[in-house]
Amino acid sequence: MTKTILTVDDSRTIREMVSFTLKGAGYTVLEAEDGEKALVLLKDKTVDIIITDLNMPVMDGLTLIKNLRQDARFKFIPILMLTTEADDTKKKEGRDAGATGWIVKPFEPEKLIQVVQKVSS
Amino acid sequence: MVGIEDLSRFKQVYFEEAAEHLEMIEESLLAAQEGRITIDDLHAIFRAVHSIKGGAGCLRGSESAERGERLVKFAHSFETFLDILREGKIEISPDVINLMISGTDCLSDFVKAAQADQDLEADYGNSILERLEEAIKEHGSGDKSETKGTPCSPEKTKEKNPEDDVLKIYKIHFKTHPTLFSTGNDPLLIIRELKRLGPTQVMADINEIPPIDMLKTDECHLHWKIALESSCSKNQVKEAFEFVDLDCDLEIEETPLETSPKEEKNKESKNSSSAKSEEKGAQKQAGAVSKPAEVGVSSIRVDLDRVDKLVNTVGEIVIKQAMFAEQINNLPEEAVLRLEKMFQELTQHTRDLQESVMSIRAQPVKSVFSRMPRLVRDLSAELGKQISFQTVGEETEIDKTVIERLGDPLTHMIRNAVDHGIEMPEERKKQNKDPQGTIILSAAHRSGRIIIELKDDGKGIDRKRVLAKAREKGIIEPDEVLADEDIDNLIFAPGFSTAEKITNISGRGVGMDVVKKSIQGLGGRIDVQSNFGKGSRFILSLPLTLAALDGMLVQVSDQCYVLPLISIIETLRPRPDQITHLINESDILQIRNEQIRLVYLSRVFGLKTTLDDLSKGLVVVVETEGGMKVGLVVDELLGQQQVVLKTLEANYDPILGISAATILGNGHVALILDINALKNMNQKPSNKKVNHEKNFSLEGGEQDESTIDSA
Repeated sequence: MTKTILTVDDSRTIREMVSFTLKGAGYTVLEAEDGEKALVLLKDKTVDIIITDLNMPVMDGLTLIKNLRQDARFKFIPILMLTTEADDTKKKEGRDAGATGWIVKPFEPEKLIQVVQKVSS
Repeated sequence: MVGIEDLSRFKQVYFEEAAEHLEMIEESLLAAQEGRITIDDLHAIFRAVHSIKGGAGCLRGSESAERGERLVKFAHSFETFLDILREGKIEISPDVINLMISGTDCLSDFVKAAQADQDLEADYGNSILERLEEAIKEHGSGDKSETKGTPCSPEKTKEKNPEDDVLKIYKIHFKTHPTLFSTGNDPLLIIRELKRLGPTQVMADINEIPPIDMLKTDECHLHWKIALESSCSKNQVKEAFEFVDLDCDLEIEETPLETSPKEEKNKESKNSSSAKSEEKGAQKQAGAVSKPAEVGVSSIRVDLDRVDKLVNTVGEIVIKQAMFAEQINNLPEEAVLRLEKMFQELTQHTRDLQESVMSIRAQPVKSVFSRMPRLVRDLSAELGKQISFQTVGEETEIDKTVIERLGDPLTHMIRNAVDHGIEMPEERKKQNKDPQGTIILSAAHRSGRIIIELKDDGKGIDRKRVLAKAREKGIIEPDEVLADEDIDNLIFAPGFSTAEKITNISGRGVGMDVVKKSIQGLGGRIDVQSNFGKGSRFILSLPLTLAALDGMLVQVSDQCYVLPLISIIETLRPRPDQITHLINESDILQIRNEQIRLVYLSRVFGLKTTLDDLSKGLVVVVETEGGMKVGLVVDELLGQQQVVLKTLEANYDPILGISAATILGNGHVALILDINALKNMNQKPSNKKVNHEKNFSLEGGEQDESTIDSA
């Protein structure tokens, strides 16, 4: 059964690159521009994994993650941060908000796929 | 799989988006110069630069890679600067605004250069970069500037460390904090990651789980002790835990294996070691984690004793059931009809129960197969051969007791295949074969048994040489004519070896008699099919469990005995002219140029025989573990049945000729015969004394161990 991934990022380029990479690895990919649009989309769509940027307008990544963790449907879903910084403060912030893990961008396609596989069954 | 070059198709999109971002930044900065700038604007500018940096990944795999790197480097510092700015750590003075404008111009130039495939001067933008860095140092928080100093660059392949090829044992203590689940992490996925690095032994510690009325299901109270055998580095092990390092206590202890593979080989060559001890050495080194337990998605640990007891009890139920069936037959007609239906259902339930119970002890053969690839790799490297090794059907499950005893024979067979089966690459090329040989090890369930096959495309069995050697060693008569399959099976004869020189690898060459003995000891059979020049195929047939046996019931006088079906070659009613009576020796049955010693079971067990004329009885020709054929004389065949083995050891001293007992459907006890012992028990009076006097030394003949372990 194919898994569905939601990618949330305000950069069109990033969304398209993530989508392309993961589709090539057999996943179905949905896109959203910011946290709020992501939540709207998730009202009636089910996904298996969420990848989100942290810096977005309207609703940023950390807020999105916190919101998702309050929802019973997404309490334990793998949520990956796609972030340009991988310093310890950001990692801790992400984890405190409930993020499962992270991928650094600019990303290498193989690494993206590898991390996605690492956190999903 | 998508590679980094594939992302270059997004350049177009990227440059379009970058242009939009730059335009937006410029507009905001113009407004800023006129004094109109808000915190939102700063966030927007930050995100814009952030996006330009993030999207530059699409440049990496192309000829613009270097330009992309410079762009990313610049954008990184710019982004960091803007981050500090938007946090309010720097006042937005006209100088700052000018710096932002210069920075934007510079960034824009980098982007345009990448787009136009042009290179800027080597030091382009350095002055601005310096100013940004200064500001970052001055106002940025300590650790941020340090780690942000180097923007993420493509991961370099880790340099090969000589340490990397040494096999180590990692002892990992993974103690989760209750919060681990709250980040969507799953400890089982982490363990799965570890398993990718090598064979593991995983033990869960459930002591910290609170009682059920206090248990919160979104908290993790499990700890694991994991032993991992791998040549990977400690960092690779740590990487598996990278996302949960704040949510667990992790201890990793690293110990190299006692001896490295090379050392082990040198040690062996010094002694004149037999194949067996060499195997043990290889086993120790390749299988230090020798009894892995599988961690399923949900599982509990159970004492093996309890499982054995369960198996025993189910065995009893099966026996009682058979007795019921007998009784039912004795009842009046109407009762029989009703009971039969109910009984059938009960039988089905019991069968299901038995299967479930047996499967508790069942493990995938993977645990035995997994050490083989490395064995092949190491051996073929040492010998200079090229061999591709594949395993098929690793998930096939066998009873734990069988698996544990499968390792040695399999290892031996594979060593033989590598050492004597597959030829050197040049030799193979001469024969128009692929210089790389192939060995395939497969396992599958077939008609209630496990079939394990070892197939190679090597040189096959040289029948001429085998015949010559067999004649030389006196294993066969000089003028004996054998069919091809029989010649192939000579390799299993004790003392047989066609290796021209004894190599370090397999010791005394083909020790297939040892292998056959082991397999038969498991209640299995081994066969070989070979094509000279093309390859060989060894087929092992094993029972699913050692607790039950496919038996042939035979009638001897008024007693019923059970023979292991696997040992039976054929049954026949001999003609008088086929039998030769030798004085003071056993009778001999002559069929097809073979001479088979006859053992009269009635005489062996001191039973009154109702048959004086052998031609009215039956001879069951059986094969001992040593490959010798013996003819057991019985009155009748009663039929095949799967019997549950019951051990006699609890109540009786070992009895020669008997390996175990079972209870038949009619409630009677039937003894299960030990073929190996029987072959020497002919009707000589001295042997009769043997059974009565508990004297276990036989004249001539080998003392063999029992064929089957009872449950």
